Amino acid sequence: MFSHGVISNYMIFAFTIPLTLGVLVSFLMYALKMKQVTRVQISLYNASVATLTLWSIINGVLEIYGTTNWKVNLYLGLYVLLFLGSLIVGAIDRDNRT
Amino acid sequence: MAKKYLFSYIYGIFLIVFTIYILLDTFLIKSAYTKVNQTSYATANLEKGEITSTANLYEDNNIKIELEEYRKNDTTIYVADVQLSSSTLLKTAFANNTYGKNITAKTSAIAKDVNAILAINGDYYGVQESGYVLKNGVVYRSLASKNQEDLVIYKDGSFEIINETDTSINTLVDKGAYNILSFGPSLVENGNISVGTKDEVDRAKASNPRTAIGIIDDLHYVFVVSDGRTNSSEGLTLFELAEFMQNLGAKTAYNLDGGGSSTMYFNGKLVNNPTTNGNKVSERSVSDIVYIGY
Repeated sequence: MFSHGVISNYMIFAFTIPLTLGVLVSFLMYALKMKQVTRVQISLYNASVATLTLWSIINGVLEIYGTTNWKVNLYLGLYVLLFLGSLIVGAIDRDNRT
Repeated sequence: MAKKYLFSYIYGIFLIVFTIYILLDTFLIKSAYTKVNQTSYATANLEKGEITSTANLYEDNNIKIELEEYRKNDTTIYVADVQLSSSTLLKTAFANNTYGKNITAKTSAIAKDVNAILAINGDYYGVQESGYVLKNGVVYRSLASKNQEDLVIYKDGSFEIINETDTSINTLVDKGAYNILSFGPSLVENGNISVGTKDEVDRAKASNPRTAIGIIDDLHYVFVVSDGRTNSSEGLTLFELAEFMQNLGAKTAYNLDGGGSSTMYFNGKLVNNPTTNGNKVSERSVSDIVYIGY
């Protein structure tokens, strides 16, 4: 109704990001009994997934409208920082415990 | 308990604010890069002579425009057949005489500002961050867009379809380019249809209102706008538009911004029924127009 037949794969597949990086990863961690994750690590990781999902949705909106904005790539930068942050925090935490 | 989620709350708020800023920056926040002096447009300095002006005809010593309405593919199509004595009468104009981002105005408003006799919406350069912008002999943006097909209008009034990947804007200017329209795709080249039946602009899949420009012969052009998205007019696919342009006799034809942007203005009046969602006839604000005028 709103896009007049224009489609965007970013919009269509935006849901797969929290599905795979969120639900699937959580399930794998539960199945592999990986319990040694801190609250900080979880917060950083969840923030990264939320950022990446928003990046996909905003890209989709822009694609449907037929426009571009280079500032949308800042979401990707944030995602990388947060994701690396969660890994670094996890590594430090593991070092402290051993 | 709340302290555990403090980072998530703060980051969530940051993400919302940042997203609002991105959307405002993309769609609303105006950035004026260059103010364009209207008098800097090439003026024809031609004697008009006796003027005949009706709802469907404009004629003077230098310009003859005949407006005709067609009905094809359940769609109403408006064709302005334009014959000129000089290529300087075929021009482009910016909304509010300003080159910039989110600087827009209705086609009819821009047309009135420049005293256009006939005008159609242009390539809406303002929504893109790349793609050549050359208006009336002045280069405003030289950043090429990959594989972008453009329509080049030369100083002698001839048309050429080029790919921005293959040539620089400066080379085109040196060759005599006067205006470049950067939307596409090309519809007809050398008299042959150059779009496939499944081709569409970006990811569009539906029949839509369309705007196109074509050249039939030296200084003989067709400006075409179709209605669409309504019960009375379904709209055209790109292939149907290309077929129509070919049947009009266009040797070269080019697709311009369509959908809610499609607008034709002639002799002070709106010709077509512009609509964004099919519920209401209203002009969309656009960043530029192509027009005929002194």
